[in-house]
Amino acid sequence: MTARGGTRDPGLQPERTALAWSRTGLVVAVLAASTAGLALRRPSTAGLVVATLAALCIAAVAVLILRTATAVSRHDLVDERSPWSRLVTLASACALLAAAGTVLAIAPPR
Amino acid sequence: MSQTGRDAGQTGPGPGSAPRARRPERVYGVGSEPDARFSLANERTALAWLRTSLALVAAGVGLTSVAELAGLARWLDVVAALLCLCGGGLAVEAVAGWRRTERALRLGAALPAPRALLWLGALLVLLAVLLAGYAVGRLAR
Repeated sequence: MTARGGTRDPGLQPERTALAWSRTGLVVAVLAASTAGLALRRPSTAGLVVATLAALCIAAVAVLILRTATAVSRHDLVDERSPWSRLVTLASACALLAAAGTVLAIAPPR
Repeated sequence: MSQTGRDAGQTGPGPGSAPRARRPERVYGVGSEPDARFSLANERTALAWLRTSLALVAAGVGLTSVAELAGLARWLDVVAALLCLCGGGLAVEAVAGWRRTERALRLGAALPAPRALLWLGALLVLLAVLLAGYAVGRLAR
């Protein structure tokens, strides 16, 4: 029970970070799924492009979640590891989703 | 690649783990290992920025579909596209900000200012004014 900063904190920080990762991945997946759903209501090339981009985002997040889970189970998040490649992957998924949203907004409806 | 003994000594590599250069070199090639808690906090901050960028994209997608369903003005689609583009830019900035902060942490330097914050605030004010103006205009008609 004692919250002696030095003893409790090191365990909590990686946990909070892992939760932040899953939170963000979840947001990407939900947003990608709803964007794909909206895009598929339009039977057009633009709709297909948007849905494909969104599907790619979901695939990227799935890979990321698996990688993070294995890193957590190896207690590997703190040392040795750099979050760089994971950050770049997730940011790429966000940018891809942004591109999908832009196409969806600009493409003429129906 | 200079995998320095200083890095390996401070992170305490486990038995059998081959010393591997951590990428990016521009970040991990300088300074000394900071308190892991600070690095993790930096990581979470970058993720929070990514979620903010996703919120912008979600706002753009939402605006597009609401405008389509309710038959709102066509220029709202341009606003939606702009929101999505800003979301994409913010995602890039999130990673760049992580890099700057991690480097400063390693060097023991002052942390860089969150420069995207000002732009984000300005964008949201502009968006609020535009949409409020449009809503009021529609009500007045």
